[in-house]
Amino acid sequence: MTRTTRDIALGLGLVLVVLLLFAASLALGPVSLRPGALVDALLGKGETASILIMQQIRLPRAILAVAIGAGLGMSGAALQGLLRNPLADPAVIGVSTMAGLGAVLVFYSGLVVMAPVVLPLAAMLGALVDIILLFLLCGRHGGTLSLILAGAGINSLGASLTALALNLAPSPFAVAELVFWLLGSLTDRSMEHVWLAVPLILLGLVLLSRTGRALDALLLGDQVAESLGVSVGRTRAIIVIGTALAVGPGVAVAGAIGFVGLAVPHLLRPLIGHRPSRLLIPSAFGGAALVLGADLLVRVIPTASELKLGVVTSLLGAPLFLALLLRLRRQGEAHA
Amino acid sequence: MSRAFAIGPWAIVLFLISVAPVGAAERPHHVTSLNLCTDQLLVALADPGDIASLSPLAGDPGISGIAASADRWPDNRASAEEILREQVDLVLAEPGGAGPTVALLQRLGVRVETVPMVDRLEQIATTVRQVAAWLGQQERGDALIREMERKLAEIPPPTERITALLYEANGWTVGKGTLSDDVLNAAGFVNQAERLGVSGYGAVSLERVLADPPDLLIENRYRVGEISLAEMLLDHPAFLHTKLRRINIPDRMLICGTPSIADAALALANAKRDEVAAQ
Repeated sequence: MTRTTRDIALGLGLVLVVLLLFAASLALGPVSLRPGALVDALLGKGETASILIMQQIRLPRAILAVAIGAGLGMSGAALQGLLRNPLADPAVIGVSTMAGLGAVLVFYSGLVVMAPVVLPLAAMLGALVDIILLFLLCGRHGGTLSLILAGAGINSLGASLTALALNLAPSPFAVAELVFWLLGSLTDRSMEHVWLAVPLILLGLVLLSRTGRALDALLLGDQVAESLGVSVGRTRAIIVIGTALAVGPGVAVAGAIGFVGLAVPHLLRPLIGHRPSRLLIPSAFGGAALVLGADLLVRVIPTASELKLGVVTSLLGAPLFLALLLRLRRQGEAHA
Repeated sequence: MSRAFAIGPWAIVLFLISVAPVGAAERPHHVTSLNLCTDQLLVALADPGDIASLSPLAGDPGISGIAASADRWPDNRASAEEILREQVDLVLAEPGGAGPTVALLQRLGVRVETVPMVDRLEQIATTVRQVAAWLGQQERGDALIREMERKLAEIPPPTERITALLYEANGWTVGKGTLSDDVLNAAGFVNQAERLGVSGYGAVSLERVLADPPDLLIENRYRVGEISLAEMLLDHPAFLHTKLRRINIPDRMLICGTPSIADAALALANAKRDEVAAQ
C-alpha cells in the first residue's frame, strides 16, 4: 500500500470508529429504546419522552464527548510538538486542573447565573494562567523532567485551590463535586452546555490545526525554523491560545478528563509517523473516539453511582505515561 | 446540745443527697442535642431554660424547621470537650450520628439517650412520648401528639390516587420503607419511586423519570439560591420541555420524623387536591 492510500484508509477508519461510537452513545442509556424508536426520537417523531431523552440528554452527551475528545487529542499532539516533549498533555501539565479551578470559581460564586458564558471563559483563563506559569517555571526550552515537575506542582496546587473553593462554597453539595471537577463526567449534560463549549472548542481546533507546518519546522530546532520563515513566538502564542480554547470550555462543562491528549498521539504515531502536521487532525478524531468509548464504558460498567470519565481514561493513560517515562530513562541511560 | 449540733448538719446533707439525684432524673435542667432532628424534639418539648445547646444544623434554614428560634441557644460542634465543659445532664443523639463522641461521653459517665430513627408516621407518637419522658415533660409530649394527630386527621381519605415522585439533588428519591414514602401515601399519592424500582433511598436517572413520569414531581431542594451541580439537575432543560407538573416542598419539612411532619403531609395533600382538580 502506498502512503497516500494508507493515509486515506486510516482517515476513513478513524471517521468510521467515531461515527460508530457516536451511534452507540445515542443508543445506550438507562432507558432502553428500540432502534426504530431511537431514529424517530432523534428526528423528533414518536413519544415525547423518547424525543426528550434523545434530543435533550443523549445527543448533547455524544456531541460533547466528540468535541471534548477532539480538543484534548489535538492539543496533546500540538503541545507534544511545541514542547518537543512526549509527555506533554493538557492534564499532565495542569491545563485541565487550572481550567477547572477557573470554572469552579465562577460557578459556585454564582457569577455563572448572571451570564453563563463566563463559565467557559473563566476556564480558558485558568488554562492560560497554567501555561504562562509553566513557561515562567521552565523557560522556553525546559527539559522533559522540569516540565513534568512543574506540571505536577501546578496540578496539586490547582486541585487544592479547587477543593478550598468548594469547601468555601455555600452549597453543602459542593464539596462532593470535587470528584466531578477533577475526574470529569458527561452525565446529564444538556444542549446549553453544547452551546457554551462546542463553538469555542471548534475555534481552538481550527487554530491548532493551522500550526502543523510550523511544528514540523520546529522539530529541526528554533533557529532552523526561523530560517524557514516560521515565527517561533507566534507559533507558541497560537498553540497556547488554541489549547486554552480547545481544552478550557470542555473542562468548564464536563470537568477534567485526564490522559486523552497524552495517549492519543502515542497510539497514532506508529500508524502515521512523527510529523506533527500529519498527526494533528487524526489526533482530534482519536481523542473523540477515546472519550466516546470511555463514556460508553462508564455507562456499561455496573457501579452504584456512575463511574467518572477520568477514571477510565486514566486507567488507560497512566500506564502508558509510566511506560513512556521508563522508555525515556532507558534512552537517557543509553546516551550517557 | 452538742449531739444535736453534730447531727443537724449531717441530716440536712443526707436529706439533700437522697433527694437531689431523684429530682435530676425526673427533669434534666441542662440538655444538649447533637443532631438536627433531636434539636427539633428538644426545642418542642423542653423548657427553653433547660436547653444547654443545639447542633449547628438547627440554625440552618435549609434543613431546620426551627431555624428562626435556634439562635436563642448556643450551638455545639458535637465535640465531647464542649459537652463535658457544659456539664450537661442529658445528651440527645441519633443512632449513628456522632458515633465516637457518643461512645466517649458514655465512657466518661455522661447520660446519652439515643432517639431511634423514624420510618413510619405511626412511630412518631412513641418517639415523642419517649423523649418527653426523658425530659420530664410528659404533658407537653401528649399535647404535641394530639396536635399532630389532629392535623393528620384533616387530610380527607383519598378517593383516587395519583402518582408522585420526590426528586432531590443528584436525582435521589425515596421509596418503600422510608418516612417520606409514608407521608406521600398519607397525603393520597402513590409513590412513583416504587415503579422505578427504588426502595429505601436511591437515585433515579433523568432518563427514567422522563420515560416514566409521575403525575406530580415534588422537588425537594436543600436551600434555594445556592449553586451546585447536584441541584442543577433539577433545572435540566429536558424538564422544561415536558408538561411534567412540579411543586417544591423544601427539605426542612420532610427531613425529620417529628410531629411537624404533619405540616408536610397537609401541604402535600393540598397539592394533590389541586392536581386532581387541574386534571
